[in-house]
Amino acid sequence: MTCGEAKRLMHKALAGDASAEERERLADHAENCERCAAEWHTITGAVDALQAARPEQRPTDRDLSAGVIARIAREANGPAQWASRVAEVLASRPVQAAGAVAATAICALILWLATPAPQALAALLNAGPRVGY
Amino acid sequence: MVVTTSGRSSAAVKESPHVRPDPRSGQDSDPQLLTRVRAGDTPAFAVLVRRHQVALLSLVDPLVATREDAEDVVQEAFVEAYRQRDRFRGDASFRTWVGRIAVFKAMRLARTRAPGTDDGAALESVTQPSANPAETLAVRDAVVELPDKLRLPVVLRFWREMSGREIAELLGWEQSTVWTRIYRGLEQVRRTLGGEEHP
Repeated sequence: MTCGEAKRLMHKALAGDASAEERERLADHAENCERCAAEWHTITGAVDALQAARPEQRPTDRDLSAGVIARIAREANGPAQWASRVAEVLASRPVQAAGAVAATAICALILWLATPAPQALAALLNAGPRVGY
Repeated sequence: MVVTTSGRSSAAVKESPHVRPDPRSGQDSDPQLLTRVRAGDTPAFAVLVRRHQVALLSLVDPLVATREDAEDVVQEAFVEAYRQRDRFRGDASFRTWVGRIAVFKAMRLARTRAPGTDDGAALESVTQPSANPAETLAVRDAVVELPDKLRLPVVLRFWREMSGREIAELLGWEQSTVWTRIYRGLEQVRRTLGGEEHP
């Protein structure tokens, strides 16, 4: 085994994916290769340090299902859902929908015509006797 | 030299017996429940949440600062999975799919709130009573400093005891990519801790 192959096997072994036979071959190589043995020793030192610093598993006994379902329900009643419901209604009753849109447009037009424009309002407010000082 | 770093098996994303329940038990499998959810049966989704929440909480736990963070992340992951329910193709198991969503959400959160920093109680949660508190903090700081792509496989491997194969499946990475990143993560931790250099 070359040192390059040994290094690849080290990667695999550290990930816990090497077979017993592969770990044995790696050990045999390291018996005769000071450099690879030193590398393995150093890197497994980091593994030991990590495992010693592993946080304890915190209790995980809370039931999250009620919270998840409540959030799903909130989203279902949110604006996006309303928009899609309106779209569904419009699609299912196109004639009535067109009538409603036309009626809304006519009402909006009447309101617009009946409301004085801002310039006209300003003119009205500014009208009246000017008093000079 | 004795090579002892073997693949210790993890329960993090392994299928529980509930995933393929005994037909005699009357329980629906995950795919059956998902079909019901897609048909508008929201309570069926609650069954999925209850079935997988413990595994997902323990998966996410070492990645975030507090238990509350872990619960928030898992809850958000389930809600996201519900939103995306029509896009789940069943290539991986439901648990692996939601687990992947949860892990990436946890990493996003951990960028702002580092694991092991919860209300000064970090050191009380050390697994080994013999561990040196200062050393433990130094190691955890070294892990926090790792970029996400190295921190994630390192934490899952050494704090969740998942194998490289399991991590690859969970994250959707190539297995060889996981091997390389675990190794690079370990090298960086060692450098940060000022470990000896090999020749």
